[in-house]
Parts: sequence; structure tokens; C-alpha cells
Amino acid sequence: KNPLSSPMPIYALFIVNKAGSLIYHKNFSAKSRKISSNECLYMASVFHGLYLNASSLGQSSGDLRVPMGIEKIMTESFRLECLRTLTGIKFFLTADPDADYLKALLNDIYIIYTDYVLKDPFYVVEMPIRLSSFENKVMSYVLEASEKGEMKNQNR
Amino acid sequence: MAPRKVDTLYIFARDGSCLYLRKFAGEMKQDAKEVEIEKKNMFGLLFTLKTFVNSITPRNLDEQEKEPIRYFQTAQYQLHYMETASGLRFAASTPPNTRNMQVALGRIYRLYVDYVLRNPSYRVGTVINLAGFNQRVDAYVREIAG
Repeated sequence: KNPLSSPMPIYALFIVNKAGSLIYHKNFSAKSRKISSNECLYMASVFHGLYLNASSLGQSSGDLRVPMGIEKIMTESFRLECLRTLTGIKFFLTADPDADYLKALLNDIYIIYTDYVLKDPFYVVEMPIRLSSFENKVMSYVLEASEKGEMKNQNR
Repeated sequence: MAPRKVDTLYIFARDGSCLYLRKFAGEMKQDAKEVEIEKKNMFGLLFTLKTFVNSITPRNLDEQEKEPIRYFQTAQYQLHYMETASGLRFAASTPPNTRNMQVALGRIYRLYVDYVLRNPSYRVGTVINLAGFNQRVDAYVREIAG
């Protein structure tokens, strides 16, 4: 049974570096709309800008030490949750609106990033990620989280 | 009804001009220039957010006719959003983790229709400065704050 063909509550993962460029993107659901890779790059940078805008609107003093921007966007058809690390990397996931387990999953993905990407001696920080070990690990975590999440929802 | 504490209410016209900005918590910024900047930044954020959501949405665009965005949240505030068919945008900022305010924004839209649009002395598309509307909005915000 191909995991990508079953209805997957998690749609996509994006990783954006400190400068706002996309360094990783993965679609998990075969059902999501096809977005061209150029659009992906563009949208990731737009999100980076939105993140900073939202942060500056929330701070009454002009003090911009750690920007606290968008952590969640809720819409009728999907939800987006974002984790910003202290080093400025942003991980964000789009998923079904009912998927309420994304925060933990984002933290797990950050740990996988530090283990499989940062510790790779050939990887240059802030560059696009092209490591199959990272991809496989992320895929298995996302599958597991979405299955567990689905089971939790059904038990309600 | 669970308390929903509205901190600020914004109403924007279709062309981006801010028709209404009302703070219910804290003080209004003294500097008029800063207020203008805040209005422009907020509209810019809402406009870009809408473009972003429409591009990244996993469903096909022709399936949705109603404005999809409900709210977004940062560590410091939560911004609830509603857009009418005529392009009027209502945004309300509340403390984080407040429950859905779509119904509340709808009620405020009703108040706008009844006390602003139907006011013969109000010219549509201009800044809203009507005591009746302010009173009703105050009363409603107090009511939902519990």
C-alpha cells in the first residue's frame, strides 16, 4: 500500500534559512495541488516576510531582538504551523485543519535536521538540503505522526 | 460564552484605506505618523497573507468561494480575519489561543451595516466617525469579553 496515495492529513514541509530562502520542500500528500518549484521558492520567501511583518506589528517597542512572528495560520481548508529556531531557521508544515499535533512533529523534525543535516560533514549551513538520509527519516516521522494523529482523532 | 477579549479592531476598505481603528486595551499611540504606519503595515500584512494562502492552499481554488482565512497567531497576539463579498476587511487582534471569532466578526459586520451603511450622513468609503457605531461596538466587545 503506497503511503502517498492514502488521504494524508499532512500536506507539505518547508524549511527556510535565516535569509528567507527555501532550503527544503517536500510534498507528503498526492492529493495536494501541484505547485511549481519556482512558486515554492517564491512562497517560502513571502512567508519569511510575513513572519517578520507579523512580528513587528506585535511589538509595541521598536526592540527587535528575537522576532516572534506567525506560529499558526488557520484557514477553512488547511492549517500551517511554524517553528522558528534560535538560529533563524524556520520549519513550517501545512496540514489538515484538524491536525493538532504539528507542534511536536515540528520539534521532532528540528531534531532530525540537527542529527542528519547539521552533523553531515559535507553539508554547508544555510544551503539547500539534498540528503536522502534526512528525507527518509522525515518521511517516516511524518507518516507515523499522521497515523497516530488520525487514530487519536477517531477515538474521540 | 467563553470570554473573547478584543484588543484592537480594524476595518479596511477594498482599496486598502483604513476606515476604522479602535483599541480596547492599552493606550492609543500618541504619534499620528506611527498610527498611519500601523494601518498600512496591517493592510499590507493581510493582503500578502491572502495571496500567500491562495497560492499554498492544497485544495483547488475553484472549490472555495468563501474567504478561507480564519486567523493567524504569533506568540504575542492572535489576529482574526473576515472579508465580506464587497471586499471589506475586518480584523480583530486578541490574546493568543482565543477561540474562533468568525461569528463575532460577523456580528460586528452586522453592526457596520446597521449603524454605518444605513446612516444617511455617512459617505461610503470614508473614515468611520459615528458615535452610534462606536457605542454599539463598545457594548458588543464588552459583552463577549465576559
